[in-house]
Amino acid sequence: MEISSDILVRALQETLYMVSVSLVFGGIIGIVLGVTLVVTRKGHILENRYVYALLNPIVNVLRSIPFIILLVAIIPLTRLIVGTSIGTTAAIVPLVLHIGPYFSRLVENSLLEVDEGVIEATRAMGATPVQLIIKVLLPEAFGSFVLSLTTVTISLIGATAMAGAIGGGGLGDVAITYGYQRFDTATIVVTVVLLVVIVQIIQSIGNHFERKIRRFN
Amino acid sequence: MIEFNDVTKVFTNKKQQVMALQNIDLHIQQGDIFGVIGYSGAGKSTLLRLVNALEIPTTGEVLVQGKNLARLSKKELRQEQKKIGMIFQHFNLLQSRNVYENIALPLELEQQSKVDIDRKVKEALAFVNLTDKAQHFPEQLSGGQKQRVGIARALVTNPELLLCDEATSALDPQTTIAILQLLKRVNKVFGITILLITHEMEVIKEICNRVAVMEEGAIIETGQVFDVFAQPKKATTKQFAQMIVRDDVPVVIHELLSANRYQGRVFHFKFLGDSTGKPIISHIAKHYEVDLTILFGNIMEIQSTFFGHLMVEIIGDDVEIAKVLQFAEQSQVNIQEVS
Ligand SMILES: Nc1ncnc2c1ncn2[C@@H]1O[C@H](COP(=O)(O)OP(=O)(O)O)[C@@H](O)[C@H]1O
Ligand SMILES: [Mg+2]
Repeated sequence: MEISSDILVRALQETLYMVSVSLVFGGIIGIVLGVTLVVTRKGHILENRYVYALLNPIVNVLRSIPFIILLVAIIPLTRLIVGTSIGTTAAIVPLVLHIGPYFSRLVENSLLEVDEGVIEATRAMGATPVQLIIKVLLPEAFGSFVLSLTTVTISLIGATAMAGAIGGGGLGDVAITYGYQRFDTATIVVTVVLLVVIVQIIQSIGNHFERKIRRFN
Repeated sequence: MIEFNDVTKVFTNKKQQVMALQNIDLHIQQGDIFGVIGYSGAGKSTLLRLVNALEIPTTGEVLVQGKNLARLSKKELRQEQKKIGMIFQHFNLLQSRNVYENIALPLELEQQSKVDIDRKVKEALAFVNLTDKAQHFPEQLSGGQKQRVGIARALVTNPELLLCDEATSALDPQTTIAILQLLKRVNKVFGITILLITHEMEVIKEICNRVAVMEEGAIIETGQVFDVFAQPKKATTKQFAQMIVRDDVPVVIHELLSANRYQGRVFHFKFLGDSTGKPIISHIAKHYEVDLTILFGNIMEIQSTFFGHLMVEIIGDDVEIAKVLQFAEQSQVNIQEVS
């Protein structure tokens, strides 16, 4: 193996950095978009044909662009937002754009599963739409959010590895530059094992919390 | 208290129009326990949802305490909705909150202080007798307990009116009675007017003072519960009345009659209100030259008034029987010969 443990540790940090920052921004975007997609639907509390008709296709389009193409396609936008188009921070912009809409669909599904009767009961209490969202919709869907968040985090890890291809840093970058390009099988094995371990840990944490939240639901 | 004036509600789906309610005129007095009964799809839920403006009438108006909720601003409407409690067939409790937190929700929406919320929630819990279940989650409760949480949640804001959408339809008969008794107490203790909808006659019979019968979006009969079901006029009303009082002649009596198994003639006595308490049968036995055999009977109480039916075989000569019939007519008992 040609690489030192320093390089591996730094790559690991970069991966975790990209994942966590994208998760925060992607998570916020996902929840806001997801909630909007639900409450502006026909017959829902803030029914709004125009907002829904605008957002729905945008989410679909972003969802259907393969990440590797999105990565390249939005380079100008990335440069505009973070000032550069290469490096770890630059990778975060496409990661957020990739994961936000994806998460928003999961959020949307979770919210649509909230019992309509509960929504009706809350409306009957004279709740404002914001109260309904914050006090009822989001908490009722929280258990399934946690599972969605786990899924999203894991696909983010996959995406960060791809971001390595354009010099984004992280474990994927190491695997490509040292392993693939220099035929260093050991490095590939080590990075892959690391990624697998991280994914396993996240899945376990997610399952644990989901179970805890749903214990009485 | 509640007034429906020529209310119509039409739902328009893709190309299709559903006339859920037509020309509804209804008055519900302060203090009533008013029941609306009808089969599934009759429009009962729609009628109920108009009262707290979950639905808006297509034409006509619904007044609650003189206010037309459809005309209010959103803010004013929310204010009025807080004065109307609602409970549901499937309870509609939040899974993510325990019993205490579920009951606290309406108060949280009004941004009341923690101290006030705590006091009121505990009062409500005590009223529905669930103090020991405060920290339980809905899924840990039985159906009856869930409905009691629903009732506590509806009462915690001190409403003037309680709407019940098939509140006992998901419960077994015993639990149904317990919940109905609780609703009766709600009405008595707090003077809360109750409007309930149901397809179960048992509910109407047990707690309502007034009733409306619905069919295909229209009210076909309305009045005091006793009056409506003791002498039903429409076919649907008769069907509902049959659920609590079987006044049809049992098939076996017809069979025995056609087989000539009776010595005498068979008569169907119908007692209504006052006549129920009188010793009519014993009077007949003592004063006329006839023998009586009671074949089948059924006496029923609605709102402390009795009414009933008896199938009686009368053995005697026709002249004497004619006298009996005359006496019965004077005593306001309706008699028909079964043949
Ligand atoms: N939101 C709605 N959109 C379209 N049709 C509806 C809606 N709500 C009720 N209906 C229709 O109105 C009629 C009455 O429904 P409902 O009031 O629920 O009856 P009930 O409570 O007596 O069973 C039914 O034919 C039903 O399909
Ligand atoms: Mg209904």
